[in-house]
Amino acid sequence: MQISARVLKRLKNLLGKQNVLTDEVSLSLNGYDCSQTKHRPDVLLHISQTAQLLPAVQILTQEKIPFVVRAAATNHAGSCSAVRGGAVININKLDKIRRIDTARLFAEVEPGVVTAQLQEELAPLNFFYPPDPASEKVCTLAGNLAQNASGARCMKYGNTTDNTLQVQFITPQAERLVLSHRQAGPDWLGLIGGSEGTLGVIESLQVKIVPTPKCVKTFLTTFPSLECAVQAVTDLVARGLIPRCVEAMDHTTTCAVENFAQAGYPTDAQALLIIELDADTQQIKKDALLLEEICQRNQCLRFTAAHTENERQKLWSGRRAAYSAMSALGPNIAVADATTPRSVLPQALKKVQQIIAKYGITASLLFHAGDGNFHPQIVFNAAQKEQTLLVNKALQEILKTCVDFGGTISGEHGVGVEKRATMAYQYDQSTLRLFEQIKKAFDPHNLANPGKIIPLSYTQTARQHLEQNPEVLALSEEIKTRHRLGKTSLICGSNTLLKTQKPTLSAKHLNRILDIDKTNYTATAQTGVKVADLIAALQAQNVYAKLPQDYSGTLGGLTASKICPLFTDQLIGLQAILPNGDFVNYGGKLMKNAAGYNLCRLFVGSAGALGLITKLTFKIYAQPQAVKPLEDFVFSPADILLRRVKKEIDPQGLFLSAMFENNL
Amino acid sequence: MPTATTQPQTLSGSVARCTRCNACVQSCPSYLLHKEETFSPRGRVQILRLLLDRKLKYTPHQTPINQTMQDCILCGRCTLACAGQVPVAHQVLALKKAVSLPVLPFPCKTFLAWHARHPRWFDFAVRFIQRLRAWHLFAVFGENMIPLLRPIAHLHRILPAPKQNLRQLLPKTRFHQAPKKPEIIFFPSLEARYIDPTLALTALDCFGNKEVLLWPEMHSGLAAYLLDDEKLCLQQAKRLLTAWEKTGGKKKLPFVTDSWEVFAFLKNYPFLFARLPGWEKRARIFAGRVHFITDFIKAKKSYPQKTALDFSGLLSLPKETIFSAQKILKTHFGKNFVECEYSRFPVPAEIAALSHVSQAEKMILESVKQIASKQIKQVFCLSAWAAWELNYALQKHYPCAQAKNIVYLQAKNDRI
Repeated sequence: MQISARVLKRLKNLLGKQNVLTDEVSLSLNGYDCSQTKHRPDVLLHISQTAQLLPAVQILTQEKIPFVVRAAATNHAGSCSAVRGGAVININKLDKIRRIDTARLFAEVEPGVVTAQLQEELAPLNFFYPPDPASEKVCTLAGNLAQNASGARCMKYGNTTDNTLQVQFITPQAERLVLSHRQAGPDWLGLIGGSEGTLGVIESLQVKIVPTPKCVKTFLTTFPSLECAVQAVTDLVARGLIPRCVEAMDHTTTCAVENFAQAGYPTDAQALLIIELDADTQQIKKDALLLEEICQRNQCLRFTAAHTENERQKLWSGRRAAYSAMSALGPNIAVADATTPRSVLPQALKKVQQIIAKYGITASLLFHAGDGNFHPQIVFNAAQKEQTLLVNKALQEILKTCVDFGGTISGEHGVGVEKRATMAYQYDQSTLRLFEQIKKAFDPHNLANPGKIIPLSYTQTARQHLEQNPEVLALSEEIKTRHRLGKTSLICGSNTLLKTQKPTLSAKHLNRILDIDKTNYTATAQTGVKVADLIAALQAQNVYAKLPQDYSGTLGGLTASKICPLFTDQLIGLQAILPNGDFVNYGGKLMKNAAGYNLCRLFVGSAGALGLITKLTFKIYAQPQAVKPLEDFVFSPADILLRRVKKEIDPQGLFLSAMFENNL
Repeated sequence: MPTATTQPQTLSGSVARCTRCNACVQSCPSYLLHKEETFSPRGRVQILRLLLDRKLKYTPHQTPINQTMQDCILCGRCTLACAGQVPVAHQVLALKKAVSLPVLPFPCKTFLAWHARHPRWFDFAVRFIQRLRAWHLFAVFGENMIPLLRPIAHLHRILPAPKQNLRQLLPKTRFHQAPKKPEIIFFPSLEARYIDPTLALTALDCFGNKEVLLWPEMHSGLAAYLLDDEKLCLQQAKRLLTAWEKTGGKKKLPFVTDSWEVFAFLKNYPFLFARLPGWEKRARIFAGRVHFITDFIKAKKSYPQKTALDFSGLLSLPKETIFSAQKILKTHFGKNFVECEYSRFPVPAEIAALSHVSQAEKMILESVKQIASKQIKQVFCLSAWAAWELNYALQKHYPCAQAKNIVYLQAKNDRI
């Protein structure tokens, strides 16, 4: 793509001559990241002040030049390569921490602030920022949000999206919006988390900060099999003990790490867990006893606690050196981040090991046992094309295996270019089309980081949707008929206050609780279930969800109205029927999912404007959970975004909504 | 499970080891100043890769390549942060040599060339300059008339007052006579030999009552290596190896130095002889017996001042030595020791003295800022140049702190 001299002049006037570069070297060095993908941009823009970001995007939008925002470029998916050329915007110079407010528990930062830099500033104040991606010493906070990075502490504290409170955001149409979880309407902040810069540019962020726990204790346990180790983690959750981190390694990795870093790991076991607890001094003693009891019951071979800080650091040194240990074995490493439901993790790992053996490649398996996320690290030599092809083939097979086990192709690294084709294996055609519609609504000219996430052609390859439930199928047929006839419908919950003469649609009759899974600690229910009934059913099985006791409506109503954000944050899977009668399916029993846009966050608070939610999967707990009373929204909704997405998904306006129509 | 592979011997092999994970980026002083990929270690390795793959063509006036290679101060911190230990500094050095970019600024290079090729001239020149106190002349010429001398224009401000050199001082000490049965060999740094002999005497105190042989030969081959004189470098290294083998016989005496760069270079001897298998084997044995002076510093009582360690140096440095120096300081200063990550704390002061003046000043100021923000009172450096350079900047911008060579931890009070 040729950038005209006139455009370059405009950019140079804005940013300064030295910040608009078109030389061969600068362009070649800004087209790669940690993955195998390389695509050269046509111009490189260095942004040195936040105020330059909006006018720069404005010029690029006006001139229809694709742009990719680039921070530390540490992602493993090819998310910041300029697939279609255009401009690369370097935001590394925007690295100011603007404010740390320990009273209101947030920090306001510019997008290029390095995660470790924020942690360093927070440490003397006895606070910390919860997400800890492995690359935290170099990765930036905006990059983390764009990829929805998580890390070892994710099990207890959640991922980057959960820990971001507010974002100043520039859409690809060069509008500045403030997005927050506490806005009425869909959770746009949740949607842009993990969108890999395809929906716009992050201009500044407010992130959650948490007081440093008084006491942190780390334990090393070994087990005779992976099954025992995973069962121990499940039992921990079942007893209501959520550790700060649960990191696991298989036998091969333990041996490689011990050989490399001499961290004192026993090499006689098939599985090794590093478990870290944080609480106050009294509580941690109780928790440690409980942890030991659970590990012993699951045939643990060894249970060691780190008594001093040095011992603790030594235990972690091995885990941290895992990547280095593998690096020492060969020139290149391919890392995947597939995720499966925790219950099937041992079977999935076994299958993955078979694939590794089949292809005759050297690979280690590291995993975050708490959330079913595992990282096969394959050692290879990129200089040998045959070997590279073989490794890519093996990786594809591993990802597909995880999808077959009900998992996802990406838990935390994102899709980018490298896993784009596999998306068609995970999602059905209508879900992929919805992803495309969301992208088009935000970015009609396909300028913001084009060519990422959505497969280029999926009509032939996308998996088929298989819905068995006759009631849901009937509802879909009904919507299809109405779509054909161009009839409008109003989706109403059982608790609706609307008095309307318009034809209504309801999921009231879909009132079955489909599954309460005490291994993964998830529940799946149809949306017509009354919240009170759901709470009772869960309590009967001694499990709890963050559901409000005083809500008289249905699960669907609670979700679509978003009046209990604490519950809607817990959603991990969803099935909905779109205005054209197609099904969309997203997520499942997965604690992490970074593949595609987060549809749960889109449908939450959409008040029936975008589709009819038929089924939801959410997290449950072994202990009663504190639920805040229903709260008011603080910010006005980002109407402009909802209107655009609505126009894409429902161009005929068949699903009426109180958010748009005043005459209902 | 295959075992860990050894470091690749070829440039293309070592460049291919970079997985582009970017773990090195925050440790690079030049990146921290520019915040641009072109000035990051990953960027430099990728430039080399493109050049080797012939996807990029080098022309002498290609400013971005020249600028990024010149801005690399060869401190080797990226290698410390790298999982695969990619030797970026060595690679940059190789490229600089290949395209005839100056490795060091003019005056430093000339002195180094004299040191490597004409040791007598070097000896004479240094003594002559010292005798005439000619540093001041450099300052006058450097600052006002001859821009080429600017890198060393401030030397008169940073160097300690001229003293007798080591050769003149030695007869007054017990180290004058070479011992019949030496237990340790000590190789003093150039700074200790010529500029601050107290440094050498303090270092010798570290060995207690042991019989120490002061190594008479001045060359390790490092100067010739930096000047890209491979033949001379190998020749000097072979001479040193043979002499060491002869001195100790079967005992394989420990070879100790107080020069951080010489230490790192000697540890890398096996790679130097990679193409000569017989010599490589001997170099491996020798490298195993090479020690840095911190291995002999004994931990003493705790001091109340807030202290940090600056591990400035040239080329990649062995991590273990930094850890051992940190351990000593921790024992000395207990809770007052401020542990620093590789990133963001003090940027290499020593290299600043040898780098472009404009960039050096910015880097050293960053370093002072960090020291001031952590309210550190003392910084111990592993190299004498680093200590002088940093001390000069501290006196100028933050006089409550001072920088010293780590050897002075061992000093009797009158020598500090």
